[in-house]
Amino acid sequence: MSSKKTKVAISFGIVAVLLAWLVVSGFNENMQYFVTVTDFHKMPASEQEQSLRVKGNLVPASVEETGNNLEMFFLLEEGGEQLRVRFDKERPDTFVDGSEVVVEGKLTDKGYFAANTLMAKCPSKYESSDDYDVNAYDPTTHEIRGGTN
Amino acid sequence: MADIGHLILILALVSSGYSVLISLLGARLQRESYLQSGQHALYATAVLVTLSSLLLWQQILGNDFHNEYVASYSNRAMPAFYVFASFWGGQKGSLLFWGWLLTIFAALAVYLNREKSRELMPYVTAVLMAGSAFFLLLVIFVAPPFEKLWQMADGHVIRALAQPINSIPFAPPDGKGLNPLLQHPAMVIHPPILYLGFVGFSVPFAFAIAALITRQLGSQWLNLIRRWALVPWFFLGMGMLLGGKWAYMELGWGGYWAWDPVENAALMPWFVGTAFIHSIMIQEKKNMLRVWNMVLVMLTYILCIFGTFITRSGVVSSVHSFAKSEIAPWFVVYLVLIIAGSAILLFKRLPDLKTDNHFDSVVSRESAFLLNNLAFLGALFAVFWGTIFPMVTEMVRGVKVTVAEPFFNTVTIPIGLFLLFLTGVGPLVAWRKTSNRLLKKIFLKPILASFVGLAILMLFGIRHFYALVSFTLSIFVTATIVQEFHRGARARMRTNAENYALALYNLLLKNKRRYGGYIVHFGIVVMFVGFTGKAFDAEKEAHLKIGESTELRGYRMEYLDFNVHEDDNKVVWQATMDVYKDGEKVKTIYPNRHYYKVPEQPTTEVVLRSTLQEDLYVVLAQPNEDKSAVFKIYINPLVNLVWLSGLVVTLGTFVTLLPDPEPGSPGKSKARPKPRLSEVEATA
Repeated sequence: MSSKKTKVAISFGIVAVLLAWLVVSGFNENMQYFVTVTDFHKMPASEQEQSLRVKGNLVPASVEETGNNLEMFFLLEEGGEQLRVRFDKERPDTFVDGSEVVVEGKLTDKGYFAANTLMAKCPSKYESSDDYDVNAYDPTTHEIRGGTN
Repeated sequence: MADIGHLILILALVSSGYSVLISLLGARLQRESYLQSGQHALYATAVLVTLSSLLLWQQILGNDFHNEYVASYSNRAMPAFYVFASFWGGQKGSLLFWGWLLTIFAALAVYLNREKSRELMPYVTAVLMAGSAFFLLLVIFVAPPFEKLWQMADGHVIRALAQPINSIPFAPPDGKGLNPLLQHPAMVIHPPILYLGFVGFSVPFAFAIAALITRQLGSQWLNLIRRWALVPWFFLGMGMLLGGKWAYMELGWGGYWAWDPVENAALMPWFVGTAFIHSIMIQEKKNMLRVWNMVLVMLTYILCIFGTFITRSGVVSSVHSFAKSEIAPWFVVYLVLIIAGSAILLFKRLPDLKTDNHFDSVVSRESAFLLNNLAFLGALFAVFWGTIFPMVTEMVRGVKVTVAEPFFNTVTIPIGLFLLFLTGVGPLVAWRKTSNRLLKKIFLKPILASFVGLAILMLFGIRHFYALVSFTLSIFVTATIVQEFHRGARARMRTNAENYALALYNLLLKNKRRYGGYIVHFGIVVMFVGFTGKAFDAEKEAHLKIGESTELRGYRMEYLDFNVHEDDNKVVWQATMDVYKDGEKVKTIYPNRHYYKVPEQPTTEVVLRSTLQEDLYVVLAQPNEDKSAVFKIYINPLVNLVWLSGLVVTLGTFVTLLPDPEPGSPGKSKARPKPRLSEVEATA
């Protein structure tokens, strides 16, 4: 009786250990720091060159298209610091001036950050602003810009 | 004075609070009249929240832009379909919607079970009303959907519930409108369906708590909630599928799942809920795993609340988390309360949950179920850890550390395949122990079929390891299901003199739970085959001038024309392309981009050439001044099976939910279902 029980327990134990191993090993291989542009500039060079996630806002009018398919360079800004990013895939629809952008990739020796993936969130489209300024209401676009007061 | 809708919500909060108190008091004092009063207050709460929701809808549909929520998420230019959906376009409306669905579920659950389980009902009422009260608190104090816009003497416009002194009501001529990205049919029904899932698990949770408090821990409460667990399980799954469809059609990156925290938020309770609807069967049959089942149902509910929290609070940075708001601390408090409350109650009742039954063999139905549970919890652990890790590291070390997408795939693919394997084995092995002779009898044909299938796949040159495993297991599971149907039908033909089709039909209707379950399993197989198509996808980027063409895997796309046109809402940039497959023209497609004027936002309009075998998915990525354009082209094999599997799962779930004939009803002698092969053996 008890040997049966042990057999069952051991079998389940093995499965559980396998599962745990799968999770832990997968985890260690895929960790990356998630930093803001300011944090990024504070990091030592060795860390900047590993795979990272960096968050900042797209500097308006900073996108330069190179004409080489979808390749483009742009600036991310946060806390007064900027980062030049290269990206050559299709950009998401939410990637517009002022968007909050998260890029994944690493710093290259040419001084720019080469991004493999890019996620973007519209500046204020999903969120409603706290205050309205009637003077900021634009009758042509029907846009109400949120005030800061 | 505040809006009448807001005042009604306050009344609803009072009524739900009263319902909690009077129900608990009534149960303690054994006063029937108190219990009645508690239930009536629950119905009243549902009516009040419904009323309030209808009022919000009225303001939305009536373009009442004096209401700040309406001004933020609706506008005049949107089609009525989307105006209707802006109810849940933002955080405040979503929370009200959540609360509304919850009170409706609560009223239904209490009304339908009021006679069946009188002892449980006071506690069921109290738990459901406490949950409702939480959401009512949120929409009253933290995220009120009935706030109005007021213009102050100095010209500033502020929002407030009641009119501030020296202000006049303000209503912009038009609202900001729902984000164009959300203006997609799947997005109109995706949130309500997902919410039905999130909200619905409150009912099994309430019954579990009631069973623990009253010590009615037999299988009665499980029988009562089987359907109440299946329905939200179904909606949660369908909600995710629709979300995937939306992402596929609207986001234009060629895929449907990205392990985004918001997606994971719905997946986690689904994992545990799936484990739960399986493992309750062990308790019903063997009276085992009673503590475990309690843990599962509690965890499912907790993860539903946690999922809502992640979706709506923005604590995990994600493209979705559009609402960084003050609701986060409220959710944390509520989560801590339900986790601590559940744990303490469970701990106190541990002695009552003890059982004498235990596992006899690894090769048995109950083991298969337990392995299924282990695998689901393993997947949950991985996804949970991957999702909250950034939060945890930020709190502990002050740096956010994330895990990249490959982590989720590395972990969940093997677990998923193991579960697929169990889908074939679990339902067929016997309870307690299965002899080798019987194993051979049950699995010989399915295993043979799998090997033949594997050989054919290899012959066609497929070498992708996971794909081979997945396809082979799919064949295996399908074969076991077909074998079960066939065997059952043949037995009916012999005993009832029915033809094959009628026998199959009766087999299904006389054993809805078992054969409906097989249909759901088959739906899961179809889904896995669809997922596996991902292993064979292809993509390409092409910069084309008019008249040029590009090729990808047997397709040739010829870029013919480019034009721009404009309407009130948007500017449309549109390319015209002819698609040739193996030299023959199959379709003319118009990949385009919309530039919405309000709010200013481009949207990619994906075009497809869709067959069951594969989708050709074309995106106009970047139109240029000289009419040249960059196209992104994807080939997504088998992706339509993923959507199709939803229909199969729907059918199967529907069958399992059909009511059973009342025992002893006239003319329905309880037809004995054909025993499973394994059961014959076990009794022999």
